[in-house]
Amino acid sequence: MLPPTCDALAARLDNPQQNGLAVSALLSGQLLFAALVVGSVYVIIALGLNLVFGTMRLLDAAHGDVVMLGAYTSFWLFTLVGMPPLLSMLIAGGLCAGLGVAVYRGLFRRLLADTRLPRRLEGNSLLVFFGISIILQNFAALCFDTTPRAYLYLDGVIRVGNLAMTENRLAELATAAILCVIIFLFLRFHIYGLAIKALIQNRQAAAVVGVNIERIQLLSFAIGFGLAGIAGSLISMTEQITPFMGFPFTIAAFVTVILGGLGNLIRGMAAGMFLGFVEIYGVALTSSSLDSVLIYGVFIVVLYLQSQDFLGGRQKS
Amino acid sequence: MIPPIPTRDALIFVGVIAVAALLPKLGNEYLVAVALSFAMWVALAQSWTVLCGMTGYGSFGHAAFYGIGAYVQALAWGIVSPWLSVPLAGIASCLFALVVGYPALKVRGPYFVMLSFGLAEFMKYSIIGIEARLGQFSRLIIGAPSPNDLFLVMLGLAVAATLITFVVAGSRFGYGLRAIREDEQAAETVGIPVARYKLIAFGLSTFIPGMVGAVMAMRLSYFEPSQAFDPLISFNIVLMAMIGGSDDARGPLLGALFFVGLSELLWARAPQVYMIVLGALLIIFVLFAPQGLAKLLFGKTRPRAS
Amino acid sequence: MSFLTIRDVSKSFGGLQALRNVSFEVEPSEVVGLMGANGAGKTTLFSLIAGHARPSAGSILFKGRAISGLRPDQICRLGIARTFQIVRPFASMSVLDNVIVGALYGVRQERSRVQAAARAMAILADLGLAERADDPASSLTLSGQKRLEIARALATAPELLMLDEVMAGLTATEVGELLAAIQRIKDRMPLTILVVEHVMQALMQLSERVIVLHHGEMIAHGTPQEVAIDPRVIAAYLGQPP
Repeated sequence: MLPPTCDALAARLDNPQQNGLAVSALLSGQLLFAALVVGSVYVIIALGLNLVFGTMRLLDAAHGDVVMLGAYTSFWLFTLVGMPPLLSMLIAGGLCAGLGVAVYRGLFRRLLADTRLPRRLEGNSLLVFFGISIILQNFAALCFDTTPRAYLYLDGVIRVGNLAMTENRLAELATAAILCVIIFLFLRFHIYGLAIKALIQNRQAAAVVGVNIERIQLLSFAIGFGLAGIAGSLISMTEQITPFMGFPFTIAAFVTVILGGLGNLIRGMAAGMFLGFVEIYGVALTSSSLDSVLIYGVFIVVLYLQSQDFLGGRQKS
Repeated sequence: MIPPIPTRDALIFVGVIAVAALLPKLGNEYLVAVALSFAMWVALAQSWTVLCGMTGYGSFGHAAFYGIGAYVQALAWGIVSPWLSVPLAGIASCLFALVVGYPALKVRGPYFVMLSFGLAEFMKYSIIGIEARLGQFSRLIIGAPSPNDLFLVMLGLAVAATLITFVVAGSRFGYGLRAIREDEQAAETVGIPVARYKLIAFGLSTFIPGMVGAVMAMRLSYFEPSQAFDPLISFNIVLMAMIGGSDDARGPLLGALFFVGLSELLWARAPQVYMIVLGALLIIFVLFAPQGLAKLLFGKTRPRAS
Repeated sequence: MSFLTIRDVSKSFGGLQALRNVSFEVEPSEVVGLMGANGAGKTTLFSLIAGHARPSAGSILFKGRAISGLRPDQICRLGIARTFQIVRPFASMSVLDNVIVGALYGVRQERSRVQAAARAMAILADLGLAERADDPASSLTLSGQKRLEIARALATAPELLMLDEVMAGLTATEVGELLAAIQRIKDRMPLTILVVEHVMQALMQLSERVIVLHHGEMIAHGTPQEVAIDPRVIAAYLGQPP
């Protein structure tokens, strides 16, 4: 079940008597705003996945569950000590980055260094990450039980003309945008950022020019997981939090990364936005219960096209 | 080309089947239920191995075929006898696989894994949507055959699946499949019709799961689409194959045994702990014993005829 | 009608022209060498013949039949086998099983594993791999894997064998041994061989005729001796004389 980001609107559109509102709703800025918010979150999550996937060709099937952990972190910090999520997201990011380091050191260093399995690396990583995903989800279910959680923060509304924007969604959008810029600058100008890009483009060449592969891989894991955690914090402001909420985000992240191309950040951002638009407008045009069908439909189409080289699929290593 | 059967193994196999067939006579319902569950997983895991273990195209979406079988049975119940609808379910599953497999098998490696998962989920949500439109939120089967009878059918399916996998693994076809797993392009260069073989293996691997779904529909007599297409089914199959091994017919047997044993121990009592253990097992086996228990316990798994 | 006819074959990948109007013929039982600098188009030509890609223009005829557009497995069953420049063994299968696959699926399409195994063992013996029959293919040295590659190709009972840089990475002794093995095989059965090689000694020793490619075009052909002193070939390899 995808997080219903536009529930009220979609519910209205479902109602046949109010379909007359549908066209004006479509053209309104409301959907545009919703799409931007959803898209920006997808961009951040996908950025994190791109780092793990791009540098090490590891298929992080647990990425969405890291988002879930970030969401829970912010939820509990808000509920227990009243810490605003815009602050707790730093803690969530840090914790998740730490998790990334632990996962890297504990599991993947072995997998990556094992030269007998280079061909099976992607496949094995998928299975391992899937195992991690199951563990994270059920661990959360064990600790927090499965009742959906939510909290209210920044729920004031800003109106511009016909457009009603909740403050928390605006904060999501703004934070995601700032984060994008930071990451972009980091990858462009910082030595470690450049090293990451080098590793994504050509692993062996990066090693030859002196990039410390070990350290950069660790960094990629940490930043990748950290970004997921921060995205989780942002999402926690507006969505319900359950232990099993992560999976659709994993799917969305993979679609975005594949559409955007490995390591290509600008295209990745565009892809994330595109997915957000497809989801919001797709749901608006059809019905809110079709959002899963939509997202999985896009997923399988994208995977198929990628194998046929329409998207510059670099499957053969 | 039928592979030579070691006499000892054959005798054990027949013996186990004979004992199992007599199980319902004991009158212990719980035992029959567990045995039925075991037989189901054996049937599913053995079928999966034919495609995935052997060609390397690991399907993470086999629940789709189980679900199709369940729905065919539910729709056909009362209209045709189960003797007809169960095989029909298998055929429907197989046809669906052939249609979907044709484009899907062009996707390689782990992307196929993701694709198969996506396809199964897509099917699940589509059926949920369609059922909702039809006003049906679940399917009911009233007056199904007794669990004892269903158990015997499932036993038959498990035996059939095991035999199919055994024959394929030792046959010329099996050689071809394994070569595809090792290096698809090189396999094509030595004359193996890769695309055709993958499709055949795929179809073969979904025929029995379809029938299993039909039998289980009758066993459960009530199910919702999210149960029939539950991704956990796919996951369990993969896990069993990883734990047991998927190179030939022995692996899935071990895997199913391990899995059912573990599930009986933990699942009812602490479902989350159970899942965590499963996740951990998957990781451990992938990292440390990728060829599964069969390789660990029995070493070289294929008989040589020299 | 010659055995293998390459007629005006061109191939471009996007903007890159890998082959341009290449034409030559190969007669039965000939050994023809193909040489040229890296990027000259040799492996591309092999890929086209073996069916991994289609020519952008021109035609390829084998025993009078047009084969461009056929799938690699169909081409194998017609009697063309190839080895790969970078070895591609079926790594976790045994050495013997690797060759058995070739026997099962090649031209003869053996149905009996026992017969396939017998043929496979004979081929392995020819190439000095008989003792390693039960070992996993991945445990062989590079030299062993190259020989396995050839063994597997031979198991498909080809009439045309295409060897793609089989000598690369071998020591001088290993090159000599492999040359002798290939010669033995060729003496035993009617085999036409098309060889791509960088190791000049091997190429010149094996080939009856040599074709030289440069930037996708055929710039010379003839006996090894003729080609070696051909001024165009010298210019291509060493640059123009001052």
